[in-house]
Amino acid sequence: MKARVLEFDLGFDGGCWICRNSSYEFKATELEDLDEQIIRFLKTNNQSNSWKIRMHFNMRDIPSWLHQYMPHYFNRELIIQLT
Amino acid sequence: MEKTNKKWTDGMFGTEDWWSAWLGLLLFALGLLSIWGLDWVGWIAKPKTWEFSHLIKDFSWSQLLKTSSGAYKGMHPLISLILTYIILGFLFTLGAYFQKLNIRKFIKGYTVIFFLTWLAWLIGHEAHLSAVDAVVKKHNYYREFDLNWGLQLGGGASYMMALFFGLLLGNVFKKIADKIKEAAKPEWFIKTGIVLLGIKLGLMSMKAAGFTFELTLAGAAAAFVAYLLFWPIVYYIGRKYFKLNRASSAVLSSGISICGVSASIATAGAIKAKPIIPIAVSTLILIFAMFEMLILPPVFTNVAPHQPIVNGAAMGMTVKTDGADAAAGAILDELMVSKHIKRDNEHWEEGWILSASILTKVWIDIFIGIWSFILAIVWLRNVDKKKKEKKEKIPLKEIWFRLPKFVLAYMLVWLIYILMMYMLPDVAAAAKSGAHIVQGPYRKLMFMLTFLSIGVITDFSKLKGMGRLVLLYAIALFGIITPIAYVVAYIFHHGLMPPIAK
Repeated sequence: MKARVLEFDLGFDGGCWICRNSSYEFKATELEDLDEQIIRFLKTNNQSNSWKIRMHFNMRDIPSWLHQYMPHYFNRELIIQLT
Repeated sequence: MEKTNKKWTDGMFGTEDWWSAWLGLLLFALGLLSIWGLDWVGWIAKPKTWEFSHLIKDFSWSQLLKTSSGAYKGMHPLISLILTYIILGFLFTLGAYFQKLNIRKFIKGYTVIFFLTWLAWLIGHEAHLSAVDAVVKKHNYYREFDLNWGLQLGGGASYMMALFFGLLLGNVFKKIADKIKEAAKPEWFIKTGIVLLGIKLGLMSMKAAGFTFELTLAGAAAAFVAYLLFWPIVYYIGRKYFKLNRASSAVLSSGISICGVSASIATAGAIKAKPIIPIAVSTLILIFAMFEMLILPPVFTNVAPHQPIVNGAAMGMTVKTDGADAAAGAILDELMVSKHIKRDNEHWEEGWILSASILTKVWIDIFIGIWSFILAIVWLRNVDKKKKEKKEKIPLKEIWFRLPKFVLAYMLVWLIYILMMYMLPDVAAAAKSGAHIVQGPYRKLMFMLTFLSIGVITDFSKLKGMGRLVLLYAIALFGIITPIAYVVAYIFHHGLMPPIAK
């Protein structure tokens, strides 16, 4: 079965990672916990067992004076296979 | 506000890195018009060597500055300066607009920075500071102005003056520094300058192709060895003796041992560290880069006056951030060339020592994306917690997003000159007049703007409260990195000497 794709904006508010798009928002202090929340949500979702989660870090959460040195932080791609 | 990177083309008109490439390539293209007999670049102002008592006796602006080519000889020097301000200001403001900076603040900041830079440039050209007692480009200004004393710093005097003005603003007149920070973009200015340096390398390749090729290869080898040696040593010291966690140690290792701020952010991103880590490390790196800029050029010049290319390459591996490295390389070039002229009455061609410094740094910049990718894989496999339902892939685009784009422009302009030289030698000869102006006054102005801007953004008081990180950084940088970098630079570069200027 082809994986369904969810794209998120990823940010950091100084204490927590925040993963959001126009429909959902997840928040956790560690990325593993964030991933756990997403997996738990997908299990209740029932739309598919196979998901591709793309997270794109938003550079607004890195001070602008640092952008001149490196304009990219990281993107993530998770393959979730629910049992 | 959306500032994510998703597609390969993201950031092409929205980041400083790309705008360094665009502006550098535009100036390069304008310089190429000399092939068709057109001079669209010679209007830019450049300073002249002057002497205080002569100026007071008979003041005229033409004693202080002039246009850069004969085609604009009739232009009043002040008009040339105003045109330089307006045209370059327009180009940078265009870039600022697309990067969504505050345009009003940018223009105000750019105006202050531009004219302060020029003030420093003019003061730095006073003969007592700059004139060397030897024939340089057909003049011995020391004798022509009949000086009784002089610091004989060559072009280094202007760079130091700009740095001094910048540091004064950044550390004493902080309110003014805050107001102009929107336009204090040392990385933007220096990356544009480095693209133009690609033209100089192209011109130098025409004169000494074999030497340029050797220098390039040596730089690549040295950078590669540096990565393999420095990173694990600093990581081990950070973990074992300073008890830093894995993420902090990895980020600091990349920052100290590779390429400063860009490497520390790239590493932090690769291992998905919380942003506070690279922010803290970057602050440390920027301040120490300033110390390196101030200390290393005179130290290298005096400790190893007969090893210009080794010194340049060592500078490239030691000084963090592209801006600080280029600035330190420029000072080193001026100091070593002037010292050699005074001591041995032999004029090394300018720019080779700087190029050795830049080439090592360029290779390091190219490897950042690859190194971060490797670290990301290692971290994912060995550090991150595994979960049955979840698999993480590292997108290949991460290498592209982290690759400094100005490096591509630098290599492109260099390649174009080499191709012209071999395939169209008559065209290459016609291109030289425009090339000399673009890689001369334009590039030097970019370097001068960098010096002042670096000073503006460097606030030494930020070191307060950083405790053991400062100590680790100082020990690693001056006790380990600098000596090893020098040995590595020596292994790959000894025997290489700059050609003699004709």
